[in-house]
Amino acid sequence: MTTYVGESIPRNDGYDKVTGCGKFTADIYLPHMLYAKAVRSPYAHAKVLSIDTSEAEALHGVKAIITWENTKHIPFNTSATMVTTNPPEEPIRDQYIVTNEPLYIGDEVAAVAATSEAIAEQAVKLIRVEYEELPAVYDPLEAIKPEAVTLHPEIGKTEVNNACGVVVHIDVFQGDLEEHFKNCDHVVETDIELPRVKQCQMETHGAVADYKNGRLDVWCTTQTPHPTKMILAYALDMPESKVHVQNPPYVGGGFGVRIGISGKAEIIAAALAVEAHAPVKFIYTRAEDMLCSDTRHGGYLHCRLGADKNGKFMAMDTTAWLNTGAYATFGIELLGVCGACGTQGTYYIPANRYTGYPVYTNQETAGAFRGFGTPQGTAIVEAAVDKMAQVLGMDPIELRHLNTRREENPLGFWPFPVGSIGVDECLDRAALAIGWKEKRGRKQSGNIRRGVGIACGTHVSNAAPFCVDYNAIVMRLEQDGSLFVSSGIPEIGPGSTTALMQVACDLVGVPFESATMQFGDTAAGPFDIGSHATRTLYTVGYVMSCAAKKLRADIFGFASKMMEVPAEELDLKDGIVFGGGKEMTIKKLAYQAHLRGHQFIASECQIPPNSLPWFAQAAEVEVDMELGLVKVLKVAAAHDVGHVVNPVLCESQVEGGVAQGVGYATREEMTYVEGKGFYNDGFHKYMLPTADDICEIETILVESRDPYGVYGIKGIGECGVNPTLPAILSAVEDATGVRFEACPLVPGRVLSGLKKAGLVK
Amino acid sequence: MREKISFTLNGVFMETDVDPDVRLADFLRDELHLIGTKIGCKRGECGACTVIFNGKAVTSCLVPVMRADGAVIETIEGLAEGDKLHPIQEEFINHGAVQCGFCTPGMIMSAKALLDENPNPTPTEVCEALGGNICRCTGYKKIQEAVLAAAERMRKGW
Amino acid sequence: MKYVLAKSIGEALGALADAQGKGRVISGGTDLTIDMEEGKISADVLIDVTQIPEMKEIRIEGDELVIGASATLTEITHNPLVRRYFLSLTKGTGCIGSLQIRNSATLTGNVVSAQPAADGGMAVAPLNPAYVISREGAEDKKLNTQEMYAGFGRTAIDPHNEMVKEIRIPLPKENEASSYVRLELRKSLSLPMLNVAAMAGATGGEVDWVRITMGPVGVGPVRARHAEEWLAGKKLNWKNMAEAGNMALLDAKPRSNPLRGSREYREATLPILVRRALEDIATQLGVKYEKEG
Repeated sequence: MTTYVGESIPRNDGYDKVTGCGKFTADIYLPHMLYAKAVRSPYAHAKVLSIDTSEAEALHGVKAIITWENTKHIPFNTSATMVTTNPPEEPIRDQYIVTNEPLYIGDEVAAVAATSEAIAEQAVKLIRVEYEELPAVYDPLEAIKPEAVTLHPEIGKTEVNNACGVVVHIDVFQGDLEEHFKNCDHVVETDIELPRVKQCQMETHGAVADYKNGRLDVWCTTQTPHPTKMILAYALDMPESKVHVQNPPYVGGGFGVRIGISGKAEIIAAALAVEAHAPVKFIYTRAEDMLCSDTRHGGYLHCRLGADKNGKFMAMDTTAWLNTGAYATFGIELLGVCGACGTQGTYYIPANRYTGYPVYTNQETAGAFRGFGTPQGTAIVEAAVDKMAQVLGMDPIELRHLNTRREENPLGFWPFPVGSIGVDECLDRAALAIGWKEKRGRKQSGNIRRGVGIACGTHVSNAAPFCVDYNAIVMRLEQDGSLFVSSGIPEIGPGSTTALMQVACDLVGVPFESATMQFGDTAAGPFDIGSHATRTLYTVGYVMSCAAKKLRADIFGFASKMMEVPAEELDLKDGIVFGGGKEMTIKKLAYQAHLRGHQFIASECQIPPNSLPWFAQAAEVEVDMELGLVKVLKVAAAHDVGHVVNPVLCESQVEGGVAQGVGYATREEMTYVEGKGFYNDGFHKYMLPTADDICEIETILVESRDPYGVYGIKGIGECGVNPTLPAILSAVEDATGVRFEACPLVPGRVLSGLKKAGLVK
Repeated sequence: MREKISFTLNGVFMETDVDPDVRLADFLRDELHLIGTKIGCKRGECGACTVIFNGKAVTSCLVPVMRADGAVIETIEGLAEGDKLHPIQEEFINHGAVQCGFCTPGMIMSAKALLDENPNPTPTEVCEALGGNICRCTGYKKIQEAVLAAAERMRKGW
Repeated sequence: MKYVLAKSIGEALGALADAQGKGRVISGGTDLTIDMEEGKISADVLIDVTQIPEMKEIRIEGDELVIGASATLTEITHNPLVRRYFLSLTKGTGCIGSLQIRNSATLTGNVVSAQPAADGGMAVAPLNPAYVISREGAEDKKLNTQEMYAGFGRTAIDPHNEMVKEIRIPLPKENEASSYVRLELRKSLSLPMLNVAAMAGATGGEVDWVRITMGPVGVGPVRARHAEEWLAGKKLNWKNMAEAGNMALLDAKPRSNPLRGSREYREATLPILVRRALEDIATQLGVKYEKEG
């Protein structure tokens, strides 16, 4: 029985955010603070022959300029890959503070700190850079060809040209894969081309760095304070204990764009602060954020799926070629997740191969964005499943039910038990909510047509054991018994710092109202990887359960003596220690402990277990055939979250993810114009959903009670966006008869496809 | 050369001098230290900097500060009275309409501008009024619910 | 920079003249502030006309609707006179940018920006507006739509010496109606892929005259003259409306845009939009038609 878990408790940071008094990075103002601007390459690939900073240096108000010449040349990776790559592998370190060989339009070649933004901007214009243009490549399929220019010769020979480190191989089959396919009664093949899309978090990247006497203080927008601390210390060759990274305390969204440093904001601000001996603020403009920081990986996927005559899947072979852009960031892990979560989880398929190519190109980097490869992998597999359903003449849901993973299936790829499996309930409840029976498969004529579709899938609840993933935590009672938790996690929006305190207070047995969490500060909380991989609630909940056990043992050990009751008979609930017919408030106990020189304190450091969260989303669309306009009317999103900690916060995660998925499927796209870069330099050129365009969203939370998560919980954060795109493609196929193999479903593409199918003249 | 202007800000009459080149959003943040008004794009495309200007929601990043002369301006800082939150603010928290919080002040000001003029909006009217406020976290559903709940409370006088 | 908050037309024109070529008028400023920040436009003096009472008025004068140059897009969109006589104009003004933009921006500003698909400029174009231009020491002059647009992003106005005072639109007769259609990627914060505005007079289900403007298919609102000439005298039925739509292509030169549609897509859909604009007019005039084909 829990007091707080399961309740929609209003979030702790609500007051700060609705009054505007909560601070974000741009709200940090320090005395003598300077403002930074970057000099960015206008070429997709070039060598810097010379930089003349003399005119800029002479400008009144300019206090520091960094270029390749006066910065450390220690290569690093801006993403947390830098510190989470499992040995014996090494992270790809291919980035520098500023570069002398820009690899994409926008790559930083210099930066300036000045007494005002206007002066910094002027100084940037006065810096004369001489470039020698080099050949460039933009498409992953072109880049893997042997004749394409090799963008990172320093990382050594790779399986194909421009593979970012390794090609990911997941081989789960015996013998020859082709033999498995030969034994199938039906084999389908399908392709999909997916766009780059942008996180478009509302707060642009930013950092304020202050360097004094060998100590670096950084306020910034990172999702992962501790890994960012490590990356900065590494790149600047400083001891980590002297690098202090904190969120101020709030972060205006992330969705993965800043797992590690925020673009280059922290490192450039820090390098300038070291040079200038003054605090430096570097806030990205929206255009810089759009064009010069990680996007989602776009690219191409192919799937071949074989089944027996009854529809039982027998073999699958999936390949992904994804565009990782100029630098590796998370390229390898993402192609790994694309294969693992996209192809190895949802269905039991006895012979299953996946090959993932993360490919360098001379474009803006791609990195983490909610889903991290799972949306891409789910998109191609769900397309293949739908095609198989068509070939078999089976209902797509029935075919899925026949093949979704069961507990008794061999784990195959998975190095841990998958946990509870709620995918079938998700499918049924999403289908019911969208009106599947009444709406699917209707014959239609006329210009306006409607259809419904569905897709399902799975993800993970953290990155262990594939990546380094662990949490440390300190739980202590203050001298009046109030609970104080120190954690290294950030608060980037989901409300994890509230939900986790609900968990903590139920685990320890103390009131929520008097409990506090310290977060987002490397000096105040022990190591935590941070917010990524859908991990925060699940993994911090886990380490809390370990620490709470220790804390309670400490409390009961002490109370036992005070209350003269054996420790094993004691319990703590709602702030009252009770047992053996006696009771004492934790407030009194803690103070008594204080008077006797004792504080109740427990620290823990744990690698978490892992569980697969499951989901199914059904979509209804309306198509204006003669204009090619696809409008999403409704998405019914069913998510197996194990157990709901805070229903309002949990629903919020689903709804936000669905909105991103709708944009991904229908409107969002980073369009590259050769010689100019990506076209989409702001919100007016990027068609994410606005309030008057969003569809109806119905959230269904399925609770399968996971055996490994604390209170049965599983992760939710990324899952909302994972199946939306294929659900919409399936719905458009139902409405029009055309299965599109490229997204987004912008009007030009849709009309073209409808005409090709002879549906529109 | 700095120029003198006077205006009413959150109910308080103010006289000050300003740099004519500056935008209202930067003036509020950098000079008055009212950091509640956030900057998301500096081009009037995201709504994060929304304030109420002579009763209308505007993106303050595009308003030349000189135009504030003689104006009545409301920012997010003017809504709560100490710990007592405005119904819109309370319902935003209650309904989960707040996640990362960056769009929140602008969103609340747009909502207030709507409800000041139209105390009984339909769900569609709410979404139309908020079309210029981008939120990437919530999918807008809980924001719409919060505004409708606040509208009901305000009509009932609590 | 000097910033003048003008309180009268005389003060505004005087300040503009005093600036000796270095001044500009600012009304809403939602385009101008960005252009100045990006260095596309510079001015040493900005003359703010948003507080001049005569320029904010929307009134009927004789047989004309007069919209002051400083009336905001929101004011125009919700004005009972505009909604009564030219609902199509409110459709155009009501979809520009966002509510926040419309609360500051003006129809004049939208026209003066001379972007080929600017919704306000497009919606007012077929209504045969007269733009009244004022300058110090001279009589007001009137420009029609064709005279107004001088090139991509340019109007015939000399921004350092002249300003638009008001827009005058002849009131429609009983048998006249206007429409506005927009092909868009989303409702708010986006330029259209294509837009079409039309106005027609019809008697007994037959077109007396029609004006069709479209964008972005050339400089400013482009007239579909071939379609207009062909449709005059014909029955307002589906077949003819569709054919007029096809003929609109004869006067349109759409280009490909990385976001808002390829040339091929725009050529394929422009006829449909023109047809839909005409259908709307037919419906307003009570002309019944059946879809054919």
